[in-house]
Amino acid sequence: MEPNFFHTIKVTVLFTVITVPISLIVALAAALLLNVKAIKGISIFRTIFFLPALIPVVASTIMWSWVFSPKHGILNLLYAKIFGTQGPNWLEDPRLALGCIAVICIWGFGNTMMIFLAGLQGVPQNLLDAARIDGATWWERFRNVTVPYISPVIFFNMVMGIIGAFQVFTQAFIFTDFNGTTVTVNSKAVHFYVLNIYQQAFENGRFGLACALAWILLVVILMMTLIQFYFKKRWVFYNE
Amino acid sequence: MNRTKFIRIFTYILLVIGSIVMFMPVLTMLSTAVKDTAEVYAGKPTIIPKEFHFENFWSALFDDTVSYRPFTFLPALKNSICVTLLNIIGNVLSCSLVAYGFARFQSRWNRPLFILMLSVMMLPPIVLSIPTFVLFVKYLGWYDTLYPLWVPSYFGFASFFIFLLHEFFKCIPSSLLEAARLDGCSELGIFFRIAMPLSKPALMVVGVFTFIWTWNDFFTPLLYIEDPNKFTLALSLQQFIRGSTGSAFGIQWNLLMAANIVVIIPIVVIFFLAQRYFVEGISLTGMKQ
Repeated sequence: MEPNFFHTIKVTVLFTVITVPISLIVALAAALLLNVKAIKGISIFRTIFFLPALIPVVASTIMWSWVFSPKHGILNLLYAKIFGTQGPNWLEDPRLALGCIAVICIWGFGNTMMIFLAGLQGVPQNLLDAARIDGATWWERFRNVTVPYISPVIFFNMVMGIIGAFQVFTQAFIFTDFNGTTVTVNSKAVHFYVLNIYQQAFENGRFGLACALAWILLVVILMMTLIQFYFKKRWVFYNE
Repeated sequence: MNRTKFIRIFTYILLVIGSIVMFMPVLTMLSTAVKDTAEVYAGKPTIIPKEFHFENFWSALFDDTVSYRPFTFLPALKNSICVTLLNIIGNVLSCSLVAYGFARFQSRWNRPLFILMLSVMMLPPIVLSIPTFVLFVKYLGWYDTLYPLWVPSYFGFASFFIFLLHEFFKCIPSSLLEAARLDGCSELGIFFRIAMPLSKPALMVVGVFTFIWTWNDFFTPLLYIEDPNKFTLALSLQQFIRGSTGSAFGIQWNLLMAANIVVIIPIVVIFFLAQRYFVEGISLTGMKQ
């Protein structure tokens, strides 16, 4: 039995459970804000929200690791200003380290947001207006008109998000490079499944084992996707 | 319309707060890049640097003595540009040719082969990376060369783009192609003179996304490249961290951030030049990195 197998699965699944829902909500919220009519300078905001998605993962991880730096980072500066005490050691704490990588991934929600925006443009305005005249509140309009119309887009983003989250690698790999410097990372807490595959294959030279692990990953991703397709008809609405 | 005004102001406030949060790490990167070492490690971090040290960029890019493994800027820039250009040409040529074949020529094997190609699209990159590594290194002897980074693109490796272009080519009216055929144009002539020019928007999407993905790609160079003169920018940046871990100061964050900015700038420039194709590409296909 590969000793890291269950640990890496646990870390990866936990990461997926944290990251996917939050990034879906954040991306949808940003798309809703950008979809409000008659706002000046909307393209500036759209650019600011979208650009992080294009930044190379190596670069964004370096950028964020400095933000998380316990003594010199801006995050703990704010923490000290608000709570008056020295903030936690973000990357060394076994519970917080995973959350830090989740933050980096959620920060790059630009692609998801753009897909949501395209979906929101397909929601018929006359239905929204009709609901408003009938006295529906903002939440009722969102829940009963907007969400059904964009449910295929939510489904798509969810499937892609889960596939992506299962394969997270670079952030953890770069983080562990920082060990031995002013920024220390709890490498066990961010020992992702794909990171383990990489280490087995390219650091330990166990290609056979790594290949087997990779195929298990494929089967897991495939099953996750099939399960989502199975439950799709319960909540995804197609306007045909 | 008091209510509309209220909603508008509320939206503005939320958008501004969101932008500040999104921009915060970028801001710290920009300010750290121009600080001197003393200020970087000062007790309290500052947002606006006391003095601006733009010479940090010079030391990060060209001074080989700052780290045990310097940021090999000039060779890495050259390699990144070469690999990116070769990949763009390769993807545009090979993917469009394959897609055109699938879209325009009927045969018994058309459908099963197309489904086979699409199923490759579903494979996670890590699953593909091990067999391709064995192929390139053991059988072709390409370890520590730049070939694995660009040769695959000439063999229709990017199945996603084939799929995208296939949809585009299917929409070209057959009467146009038929007319060219009657006028005596060869099949390749039809492809290059009619199908390709008509799909220019889709080809631009392929080009722009190939640029971003190749420029940002860290995993492939990490697997194959060992010689610092063959590093691409992303790999060179990571090796710069590794090289600093042993030095007396630990990491020289200001230099690291300066190098970081230089790697990011081309992406931002491309984004502003080709913004239209990004928005189109993402909203049409839902493409993701």
